Amino acid sequence: MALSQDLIDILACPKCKGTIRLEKDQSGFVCETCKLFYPVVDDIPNFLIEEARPWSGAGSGTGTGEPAPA
Amino acid sequence: MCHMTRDTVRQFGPLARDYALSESHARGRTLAMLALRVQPRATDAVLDVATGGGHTALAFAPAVRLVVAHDVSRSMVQQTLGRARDAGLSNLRGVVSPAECIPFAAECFDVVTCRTAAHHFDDLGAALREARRVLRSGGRLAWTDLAAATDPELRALQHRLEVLHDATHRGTWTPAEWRDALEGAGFREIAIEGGVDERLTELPGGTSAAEWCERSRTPPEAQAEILRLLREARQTTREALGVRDEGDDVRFCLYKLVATARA
Repeated sequence: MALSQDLIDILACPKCKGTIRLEKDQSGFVCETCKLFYPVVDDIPNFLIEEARPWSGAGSGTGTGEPAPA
Repeated sequence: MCHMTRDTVRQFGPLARDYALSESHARGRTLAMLALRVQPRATDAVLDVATGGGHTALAFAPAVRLVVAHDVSRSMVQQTLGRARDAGLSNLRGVVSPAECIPFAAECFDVVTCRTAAHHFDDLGAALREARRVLRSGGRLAWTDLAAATDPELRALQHRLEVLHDATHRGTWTPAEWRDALEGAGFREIAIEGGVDERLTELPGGTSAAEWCERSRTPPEAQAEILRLLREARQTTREALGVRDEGDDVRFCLYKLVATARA
């Protein structure tokens, strides 16, 4: 089941409150400002900053970027 | 600064089902009071902070456009979404984060609710500032929580009982302290109802200490201490807390308050 657009539209980075981008495969949200990847598990976005993964920036904006190795 | 309350996640993850089934959470007075005070509209987007068993989120969903069930525990959110599906509700979404660090853009909700959860928050002021930030101008806040007594001795006993019951308890506040916290977060038209003086409780007849402890998996030695403290409290304290001995159990009052305000 895909994430609902009405939720995606209002989400923001919990750290900087800026815009976040949903990966094309809906695996998670990327904050390019904070360089953090927030995973989506079973259609529930996890915005616990302590559990966010560093974001490498590779492929940013193409939907093909990968979280940096944990 | 945002905190992740790991203890709270550990405590409440396994308890999602128990909180969903809890009578005081499912049918308590403050749930109806929240709906009455908010007067939900069909166009409203509602954020239910620290949704827990999801009772508030599920109660509001049929009356509004969108409800987001928020909690620091993924199990709680997952269970709430499952209950929404079972109830045929299609407008309920979920996110995981601490209440002090909400992952939403500014001014995107019409209503922010929170029921009987603030006493677990690391920082009530930060949580209220986040609620204020995500509310549209004129948006409604409606929160309920445990109420602290103004009498220091009674308040100390309330706190001791709560910490024994659940180690993730952080604190409770008097109606005056709630008003100050809401003002400090930038809210207006603040109203506080209930509290110890008004003896507002979720259910008539008070709370069974045994059931209260069972729901939260309170360790047996802590439960025994709770029973001892209630039984051996001085008479004025017993009267203030409505303590009633019932064989091996003790009933007493967990007082609540309801705080409403506008952004």
